[in-house]
Amino acid sequence: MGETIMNKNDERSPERWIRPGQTDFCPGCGYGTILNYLARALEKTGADPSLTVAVGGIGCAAWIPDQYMQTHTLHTTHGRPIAFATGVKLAKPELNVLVISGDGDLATIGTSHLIHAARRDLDITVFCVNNFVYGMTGGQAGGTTPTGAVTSTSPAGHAEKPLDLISLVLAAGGRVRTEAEGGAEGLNASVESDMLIASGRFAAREIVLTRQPQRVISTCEKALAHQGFSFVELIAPCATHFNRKNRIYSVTDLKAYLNANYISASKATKTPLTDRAGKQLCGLFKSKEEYERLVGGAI
Amino acid sequence: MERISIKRELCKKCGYCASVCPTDVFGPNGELQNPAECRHCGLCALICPERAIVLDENNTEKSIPEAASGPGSGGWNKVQTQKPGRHLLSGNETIALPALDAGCRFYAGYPITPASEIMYGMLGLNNIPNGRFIQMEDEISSLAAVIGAALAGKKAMTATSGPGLSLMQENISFAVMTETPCVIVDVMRAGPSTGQATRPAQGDIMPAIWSGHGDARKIVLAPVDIADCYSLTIEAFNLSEMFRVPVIILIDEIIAHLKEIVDIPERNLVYDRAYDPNERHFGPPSNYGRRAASLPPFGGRELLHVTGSTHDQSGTRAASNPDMEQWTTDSIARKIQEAGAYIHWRAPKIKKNTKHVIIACGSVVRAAEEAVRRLARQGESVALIPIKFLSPFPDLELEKALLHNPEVHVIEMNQGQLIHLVRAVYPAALSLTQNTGTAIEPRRIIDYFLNKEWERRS
Repeated sequence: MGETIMNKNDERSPERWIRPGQTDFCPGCGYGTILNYLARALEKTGADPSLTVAVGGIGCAAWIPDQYMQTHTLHTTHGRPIAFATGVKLAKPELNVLVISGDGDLATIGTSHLIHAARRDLDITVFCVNNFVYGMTGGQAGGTTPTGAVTSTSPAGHAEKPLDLISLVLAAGGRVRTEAEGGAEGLNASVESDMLIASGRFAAREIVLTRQPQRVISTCEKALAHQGFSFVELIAPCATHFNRKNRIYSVTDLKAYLNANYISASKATKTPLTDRAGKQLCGLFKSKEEYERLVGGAI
Repeated sequence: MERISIKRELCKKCGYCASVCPTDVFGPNGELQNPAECRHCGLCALICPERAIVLDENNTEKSIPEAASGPGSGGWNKVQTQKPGRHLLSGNETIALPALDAGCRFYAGYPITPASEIMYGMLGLNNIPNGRFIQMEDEISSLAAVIGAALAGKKAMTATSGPGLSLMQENISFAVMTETPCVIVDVMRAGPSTGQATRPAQGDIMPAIWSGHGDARKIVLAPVDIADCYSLTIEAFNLSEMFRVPVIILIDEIIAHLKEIVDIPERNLVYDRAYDPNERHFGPPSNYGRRAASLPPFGGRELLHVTGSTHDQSGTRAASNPDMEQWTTDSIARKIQEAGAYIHWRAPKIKKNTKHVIIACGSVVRAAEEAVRRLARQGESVALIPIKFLSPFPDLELEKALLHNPEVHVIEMNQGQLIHLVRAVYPAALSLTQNTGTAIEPRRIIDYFLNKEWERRS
């Protein structure tokens, strides 16, 4: 664990990725932690802040890049950060382009851009911070709100089914092409071929409040290093609007809630399906088939 | 000194640290309970949302990377054209040529009738080094990608028609607020809604000038022929880069598909974006010779922070400061005014004894030209003022041209939009409209002047 402590002689530190000062996030919000994780993951990849563009949409999660990251930042319109990032990446392929935004932004209003960026296998990294609700506007239900959850717009419990973002991205994602194939088909092929290197698919889900933060950082690092489209869903329920309405009053309650609803992929392989019914999988998934096998059915 | 300490001014007492600490160093609200128990594992420092936990007294804050000085202030250049000489081209086919000649190196678009041919022309980007073409999933993302590419340093363009322009509204507003140069071509078709997708109209004049929410005018140029399609597209890129604003080129379906001879010059004067190291990135320029602030591209040593929220000159959010909001909208409006002074359009000379003046834009100008010629043969003196700059509107110049109080007739293919711009200058102007999805013919204009009747006859 010694690596978490900054080396006195090292000029570079994760802090250089973050603007100094306290964040404006509510007490109990995991977004500051995500900022912390991302800074460390970026530092580990050896990236240069002046060659990094962090793009966010609208919502609390978009404040992670927009307000606090010490890189080039682009705070865009609601739901469209992936589309803006597409332009940045195509215009300057040498840039390290990452999108950090919320579930309402990337997976409700802007879902089509997520699907199409995954389909194009564009070499960007998308961090979707999932807090289950629209936090900034007062905690309304969205595309990822769990069934039964109490929100401002579903006081009797949310009736709809949430999107499984991992299966969505894996199903949409990545034309798997070898470098030799070059990929000359289609209108866009000649433009994108230099950044479309066979990479497989990359979708991961991690919980922010965990006893293994190193694992989350390592997943983020792998996602950043991945050539091609990579997607990381970070679970951090909204402390102000989701937790209180759903009887999660303390960090202890929150951990119990997360334990009851999520299970790591490695643990899932050792647990019979019946014992983990209704639990979502955490971990790194590189193919639809692998994810389907673990979930125990077609997705 | 303890091995662990908490920066009290940062701590929000969320208790994340306590939930991960294996040795109960922290109390439930994150206070240090048993600091001696700390094993220095670092979990708390990783999980802390505010980075308030310090594990090593030598952890001083590192300075941010310094903005290094770099080259590259832009300005005017004489640039060789790619296909000089005489060509027979349609409006849509033409527009790609001046775009590439002006240095456009990024195009993102979505298919729509009657604008798709512009996209085919822009496929030429694939044969240019550093050129990028992409067909996006919708018009929203097309303009988003264009803005992203523009911020990464490229001149960028998209083209669409009315329904696509509607989808782009939010991002047009974003381009205004973030002072991102980009060019949008709107080929006007008959509406509202899907309307008559292959038929001409001029219904997007006001929607283009006031496009996007939140009170900011755009620069809108309206070619009347194919030669204009060339020269005004060059002008659009120059204005866009100089003033750092989105510029809209409005053509109607007739201009888009009309084939005509166009002479492309050997060279064009092209303006490249200005960038001076360590200047402010937004708001009024500090350098007097410049029309907009310095814009460093993404990927330079100087970090660029772009936000659609109201911001100060460094791009830092100022979303609840009343002075800042006034200052921002003022400086955006001032740029459009200055663009008006810069364009310096001159109205054609009109004889003092001319009783009638037609004012029109787009393809209507062509019909009016023919009508004016034929009316002259019959002894009717009618003059024509074509409007090529819809916004900023050349009101002073128009006022001068109409000083002798002629009867003014504004002819357009909509329910009356240009008339409002003209009436602001000349309240007595008469409005003549046709909204049939077909061209206004010279015959109809001649009939009007001879018989003073504008009723539509089938």
